[in-house]
Amino acid sequence: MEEFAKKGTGTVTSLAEMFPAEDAQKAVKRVQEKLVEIQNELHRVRRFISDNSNLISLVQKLPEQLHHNIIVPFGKAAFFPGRLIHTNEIMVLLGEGYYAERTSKQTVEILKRRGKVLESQVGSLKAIMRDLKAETSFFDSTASEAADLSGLSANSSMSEVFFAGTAEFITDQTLSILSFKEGRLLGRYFRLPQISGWLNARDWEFMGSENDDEAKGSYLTLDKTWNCSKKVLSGVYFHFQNSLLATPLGMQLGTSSRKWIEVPWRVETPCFLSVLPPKELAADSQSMSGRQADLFMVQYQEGLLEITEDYMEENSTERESESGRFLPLVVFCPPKEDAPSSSEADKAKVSVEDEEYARIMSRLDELEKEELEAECGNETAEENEQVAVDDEEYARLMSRLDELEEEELEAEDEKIKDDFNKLSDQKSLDTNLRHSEGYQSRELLEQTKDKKSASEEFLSKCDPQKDLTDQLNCMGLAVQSVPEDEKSHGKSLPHNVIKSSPPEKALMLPEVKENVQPAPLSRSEVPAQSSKPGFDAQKAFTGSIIEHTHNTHINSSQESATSSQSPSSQPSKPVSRFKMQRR
Amino acid sequence: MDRFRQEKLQRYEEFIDKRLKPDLVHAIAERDKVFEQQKTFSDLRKNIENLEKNSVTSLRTLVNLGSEVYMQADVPDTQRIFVDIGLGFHVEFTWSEALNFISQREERLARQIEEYTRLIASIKAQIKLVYEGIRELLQLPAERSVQGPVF
Repeated sequence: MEEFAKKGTGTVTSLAEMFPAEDAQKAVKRVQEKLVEIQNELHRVRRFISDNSNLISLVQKLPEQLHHNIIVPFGKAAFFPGRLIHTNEIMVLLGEGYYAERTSKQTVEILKRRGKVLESQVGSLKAIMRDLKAETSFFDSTASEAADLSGLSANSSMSEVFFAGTAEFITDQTLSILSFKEGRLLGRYFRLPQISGWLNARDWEFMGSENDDEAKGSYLTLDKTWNCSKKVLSGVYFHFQNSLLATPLGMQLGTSSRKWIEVPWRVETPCFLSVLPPKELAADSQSMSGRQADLFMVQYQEGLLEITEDYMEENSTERESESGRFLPLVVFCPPKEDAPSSSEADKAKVSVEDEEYARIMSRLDELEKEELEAECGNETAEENEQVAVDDEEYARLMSRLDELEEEELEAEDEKIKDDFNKLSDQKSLDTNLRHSEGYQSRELLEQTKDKKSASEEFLSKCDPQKDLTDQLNCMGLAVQSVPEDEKSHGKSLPHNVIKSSPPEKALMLPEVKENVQPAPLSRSEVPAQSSKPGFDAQKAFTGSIIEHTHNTHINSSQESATSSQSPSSQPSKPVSRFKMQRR
Repeated sequence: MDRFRQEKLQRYEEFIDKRLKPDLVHAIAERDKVFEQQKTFSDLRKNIENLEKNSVTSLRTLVNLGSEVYMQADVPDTQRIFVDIGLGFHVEFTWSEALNFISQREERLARQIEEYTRLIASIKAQIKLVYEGIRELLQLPAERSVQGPVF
């Protein structure tokens, strides 16, 4: 990849190393099958809908006459002539073998409701179709990307796309997406200047084995399917400006140690390109035509991935790692100077910071070790000096760490505000809840008059933020009384913050005021994520009074609850933990 | 020699996968269709016999309008029944005539089923045979067929 950034060419890796061809084939086939399946399903549902609307009009029309002459079916193979009577009495199946007798009008209503359900089904099916189609729409970007990378731009009027053994809907979709014409390969003469430039050994090879004599003439006679005796090569082949791009859909790739060039590919699509180096092609093709080949093969394998929705929503740093996990090969970012989007720049910075952080941490560890050793060993003056130096360095590192942490905090605060905006309606709901719970717990409070009530009075006298503390206090009690309820809340952190305050109040009254003040602040800012500021804010005033065991217990439960939601905040966690240890 | 054998093996396998197995599936589907017909006719016979036994002359029934929506229907005269005789033709029968026709039809359907069953068996036998051929080509030891019931 770095090599590419420098020279504009890729690194060479063998295809077999990256992924097995059969797997790609299978995955692609699966996507195709799924698409066909969904199309069938859609047809089925559409038929239901049309049946339903016909039935509605029929049911509306029937009561217009007292009776209708009809043929009454008697089993499947026989019927009687008869007539419909009681034309305004209709039995409708409600499901599970239950029938209801309805009038025509009521039946129409039922049927309309059924129709709505069917419509929603159509909507969801269409959404799925869209997703699948989006996968196929990568054809377009494949072509354009290849153009960017190879320095060739596709001239759509000069370009053609070839299909070989692809399903018809893929053909249609590809043609509708691309502005290319559908190309046809001329037949059986290899040395004719073909539309695709010069066909050569490479063509020969992936169309069949070279020594397969009887198949030789027949490869190219077929314009849609390149059949050879053993296999049908399916795939979509792009041709523009002297290069042929192949997007093999289930193409049988050679098992020989063919070399491929990886070309950087934008990360927004989990695809990558493999371009055959012209040199190798030339080497290969010498035996056949002796001409310099300009044949590109673009392998894209988005079919290998399952593109899930949350996957799409994640930001691109995670996506990188994700794709790294799913793909047995590297997905490249575009070179930074090419597309320095703001988010990417940020990410770069973050990664740099992370690196620095890791470095500092490792250095700290070293220092710690040294310290330990120094303590264990005999304390000579030299070593003391060493320790002093170490300490100095240590302090410096710590300050740097703090800086980094602060930066992170700021970044996160911004994020948190955004989140908070999103969650604000949810929040208001929560505050409502809090109030209601507060009332309950106030009663409770009055029943159990003790120190707490005294503190309450004290607070009501001197605290300017009385209502807030009230809420806090009550909430704390409520939470204590109904722990299950608390667990069920998605946003557990605010509760957590509050929860920690009442015992505090009970114990040390004068401090309550000071301690409470940060609490509402943090509550207003802390979102559902258990991000660091919340953590720290809590620490800030729990450290003095509240027992750590209690607290950490809550934290651990919450971390487990929220960690799945906020993987992004994880890198920040070690910081605070470390700090806790150090203090 | 080895290459020759390979090719032969491949051809055998292709014959099984592309010819024999689709044929088998097709035959089974056809037989299922005939089974279904047999069932409809036997149902019809039972229904007519039921009508005869109870000497029902007029009938009130529910007609499916589609999507499991039913309406009452009245049959003033059940003596004459129209029976599907195939190719989209329906013949007006009396009860006895209908029963006579149905019995003949059932006989024919039974014969058809038997034919299909035989066909299926022969296709299966052919598949087995080709497999045996493949086995011989690979020079694998013959599978010992289990003699008698196994307890």
